[in-house]
Amino acid sequence: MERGLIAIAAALAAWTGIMTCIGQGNIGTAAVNGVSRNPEADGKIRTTMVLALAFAETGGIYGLLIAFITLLVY
Amino acid sequence: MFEFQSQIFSIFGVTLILCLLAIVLGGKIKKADPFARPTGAVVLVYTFVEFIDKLTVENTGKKAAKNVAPYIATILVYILTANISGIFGFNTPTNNLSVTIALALVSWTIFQYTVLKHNGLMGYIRSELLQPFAIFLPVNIISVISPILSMSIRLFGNIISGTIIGALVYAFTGYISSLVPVIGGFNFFAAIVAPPIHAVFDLFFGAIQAYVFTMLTVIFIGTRIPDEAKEF
Repeated sequence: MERGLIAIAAALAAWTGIMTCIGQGNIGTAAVNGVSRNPEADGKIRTTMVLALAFAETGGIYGLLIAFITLLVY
Repeated sequence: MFEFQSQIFSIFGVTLILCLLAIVLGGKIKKADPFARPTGAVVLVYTFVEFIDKLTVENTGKKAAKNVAPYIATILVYILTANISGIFGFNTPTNNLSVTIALALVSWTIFQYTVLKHNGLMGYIRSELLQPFAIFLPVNIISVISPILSMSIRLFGNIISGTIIGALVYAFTGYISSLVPVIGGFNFFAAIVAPPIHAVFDLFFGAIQAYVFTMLTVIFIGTRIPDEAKEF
């Protein structure tokens, strides 16, 4: 019984990934738009995009971390 | 009560490797002729130093860059080596929260010092704590402290998730290959599955997180220096 509730809690924590995915998709869209409008700025846009992706990923990583901690510690 | 953490060994290992690298490369740089074309590892060092100089001057201005650039270079090289050391069999130092909190604390101290230096004590209280009104003091205290948490947990979370996923993959492939009758003791499935996972989580995410940490440090220092004090 308790194990099951812990697993449900971990799954709920991993839900943060949903919004992270949407945000990363938006970043990718913006980067593709930028490159198609201005192909010369390719390298600069890629660097900025990777940085923005890493920031957007942070929220999802927090969720994953909490899910792991919930599963492994309790 | 007192637990010995295995990351201590990898911290010493990374420090030792970086020291040896610094001694060897320093000797090479000293011998290199400044007017001849640079060759070999010297080119790499020149490019790296130029990259750091450009990054800091762009963000903090010429005057502050002289003091900030060495710290930025150190932190970038250290975090990069620490993150990548996972593929050489070390237990990655940055998957211990104490290490990342220590790194974030050093950066945070530099942020506070920068504000204090440019605004003075009264300016610090006015610009950081009582912004925009005095009622916002509790919120501002949280926002002053929060970079420590967010920077350290971002680095820690990315690296520890890679470590945990790697451990899970090794456990799973070990179980799968134990089902094979004769050679089951040898975990041969991991040899096929693990390399891409190490490439993504240790090399790629490690490099990106090192870059993100240094970029954040530079940008946060840059935003705390008033525009009048910067000259590009």
